[in-house]
Amino acid sequence: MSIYHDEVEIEDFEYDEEEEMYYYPCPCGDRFQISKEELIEGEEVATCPSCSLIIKVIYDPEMFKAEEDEETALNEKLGELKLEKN
Amino acid sequence: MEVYAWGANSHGQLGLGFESELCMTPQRVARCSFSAPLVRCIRGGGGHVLILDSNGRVHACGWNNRGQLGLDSTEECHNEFKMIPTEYFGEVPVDIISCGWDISGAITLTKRLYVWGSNAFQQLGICQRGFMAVRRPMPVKLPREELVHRISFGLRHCAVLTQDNKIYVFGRLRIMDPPPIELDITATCLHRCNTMKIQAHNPNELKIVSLSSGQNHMLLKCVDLSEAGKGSTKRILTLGDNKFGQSNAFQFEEDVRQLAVGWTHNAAVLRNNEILLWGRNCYGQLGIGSFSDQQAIPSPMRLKFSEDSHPARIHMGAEHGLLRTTTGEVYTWGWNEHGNCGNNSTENLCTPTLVELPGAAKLAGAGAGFCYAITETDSVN
Repeated sequence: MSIYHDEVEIEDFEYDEEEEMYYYPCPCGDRFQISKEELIEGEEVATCPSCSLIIKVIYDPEMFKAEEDEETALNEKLGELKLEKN
Repeated sequence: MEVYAWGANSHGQLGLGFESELCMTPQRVARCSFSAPLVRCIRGGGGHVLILDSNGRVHACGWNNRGQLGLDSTEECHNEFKMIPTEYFGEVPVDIISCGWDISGAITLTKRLYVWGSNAFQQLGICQRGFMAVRRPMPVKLPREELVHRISFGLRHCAVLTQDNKIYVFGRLRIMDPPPIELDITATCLHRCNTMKIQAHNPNELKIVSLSSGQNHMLLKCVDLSEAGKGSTKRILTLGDNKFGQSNAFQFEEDVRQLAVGWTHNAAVLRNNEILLWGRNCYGQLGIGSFSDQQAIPSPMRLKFSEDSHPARIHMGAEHGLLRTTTGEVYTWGWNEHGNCGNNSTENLCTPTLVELPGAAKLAGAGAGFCYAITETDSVN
């Protein structure tokens, strides 16, 4: 059984660029977390490492997917450029 | 006198010298940077705690990922208390302390405001790239250099009540519903930072005297200066998120003595010692005898506890509550997964339950998932 402690929009999370992780405060004093990778895969439950509470993340999986596709395309292009240089 | 702490300890916020998931019973805090009989005030944040002593010195412990301890340290946590150097407050004693999720504030005896901790939502009132956190107390200059009366932090906002009864709100506090007609709310700027200014529409009839913030809402205690009101404090005004009825405002039968606000629930202590609670009740945080997953109580319910005791002070954690009585008993209720209620269990409590402490409590405090109490030592032993 899973009942969400809250439903939170992705915009309300704090994003850590280095860890590629989204965080939102949990009432136990720790933080709910969900990785960018999980979001791209369509996961919508953020969990807290210290307690049993969970929250539902409100976001548009398509947007994350699109962003990733763009990134892949960009990296491919960069790769090609490097090849040309060599 | 001795200091006791219980509940969540993931960031060493119980000051016990170690971090742990939970402490289900009151633990004695043996090593302190302060003297227990001198403690005047205990305030808890998400994972940190501030203690103010009667010399106006501030002591801090717990999570420090955003510098919320104000020790000018880059350590992630401090699991023992340390004193914030007095020079950080210009050598002026501190009069009032306050904690938010990952932010802290102090008002000096000279009524100047200092804040430190997270600025991720510009809740410190600074709009500058790279200023995500401030690790030592920073003086805040208000637009007209007003003196500061009170300060209160929500999850992502900082609300400052000036001595001339205006409120400035920094950071993010969404006001979805139309604000109460008794208030004028204007957008202003402070150091290029968007700031909200809140004033009584008619200052001759209404004076804001105190404020208390929840996660995304705020309660204002007001004095009714109108002819009919005769200076009573029966009225409260509210602003912000009302998903659980936590922003419902009321006129009580008696004067409000104290307001205490959790993340999404509130308590008002009235002059006749009645305690009324309303808001979210999914973990028993209202202490009214029952709770259910989706429950919210939109209008105040009376808290029942021992018939012969009177409330001294109520403290709210995120989802639990603590009541200290005038005879030094401590009652807790609400969310208990981390032993927040200190009754050697992790089952949520839906009624105020007496905490077993070795002596009468003189003072108490609560943070998001934990509690503190200072007790008299039994002189016989």
